Amino acid sequence: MITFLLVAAAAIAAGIGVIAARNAVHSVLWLVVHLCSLAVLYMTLQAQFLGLVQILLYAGAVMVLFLFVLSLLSARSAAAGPGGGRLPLQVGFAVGAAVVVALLVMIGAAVGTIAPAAAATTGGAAGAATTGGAVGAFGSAAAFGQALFGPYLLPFEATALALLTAIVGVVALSAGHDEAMRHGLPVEEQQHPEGAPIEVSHAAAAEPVLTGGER
Amino acid sequence: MPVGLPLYIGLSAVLFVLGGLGLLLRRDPLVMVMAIELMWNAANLALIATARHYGDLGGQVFAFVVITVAAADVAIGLALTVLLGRTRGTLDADRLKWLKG
Repeated sequence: MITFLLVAAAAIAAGIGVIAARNAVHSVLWLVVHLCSLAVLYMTLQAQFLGLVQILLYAGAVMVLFLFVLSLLSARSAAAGPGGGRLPLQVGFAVGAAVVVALLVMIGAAVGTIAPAAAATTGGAAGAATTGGAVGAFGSAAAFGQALFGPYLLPFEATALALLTAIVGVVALSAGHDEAMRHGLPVEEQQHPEGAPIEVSHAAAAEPVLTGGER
Repeated sequence: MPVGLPLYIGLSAVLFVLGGLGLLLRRDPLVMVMAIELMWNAANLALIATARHYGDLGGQVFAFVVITVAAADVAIGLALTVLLGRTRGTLDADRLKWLKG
């Protein structure tokens, strides 16, 4: 209980840090704190594998991606600071508080309908482990893999399709951009020798892309 | 004393609304993508807590799927952000109005 309260407070504080930090880099670092505290919660919920995935994939890979893009765009990231004509901060917080209260009331009303915990988990991981099954404890990598490649194989394959869609989308976005650049180039620049520096063509093509986007 | 399912769901609700607030109040697309991440993770927490409560690994598997989809979402969102920064020179979501009819 103490662990839950501490980690939950850390998660909420870090979440506030993410959306309140003036500097986007600070937002990313708060997000790392948030994701790590959530990973702790996952592990207390006997989702050890997902906790590790959370740390490795989210707090590791995705955050590196964020920082990479941030350093790529750091010069233009001037739109820091909350609010500013979009929606008054007071209105935003009032709406947020109202939604939180509504959700908590709904959860409180639904508490009675929650079925009692399944018998298999009341014993906890230790109980499952002492049975010595080949599958392993609830939430362990072995049990998770059995579930993932057994009854849930189709959702897993759908995940692969979603990732492929993302890859194609990102490549289409960036490659389409380069294509537009190439079409915007004058002919003599298009037939540059192989050794031509890429930076030159990019700089020359920046203007046609901008005007093309105005249509 | 074990922590009950309602506490986890409540924490998940609070974090979800926090992400939604960030999405509504911030203008930097990067921070908006991060706020969406907060919302994904709030949903994941609810899924995993429910999986633990009912002893069903399906919730954890779906949380795994959500993590993957969230990673794809980050990739697309960041690609769009980079594209915006390169072609428009601005990263203010309020100024991205040229799709208006």
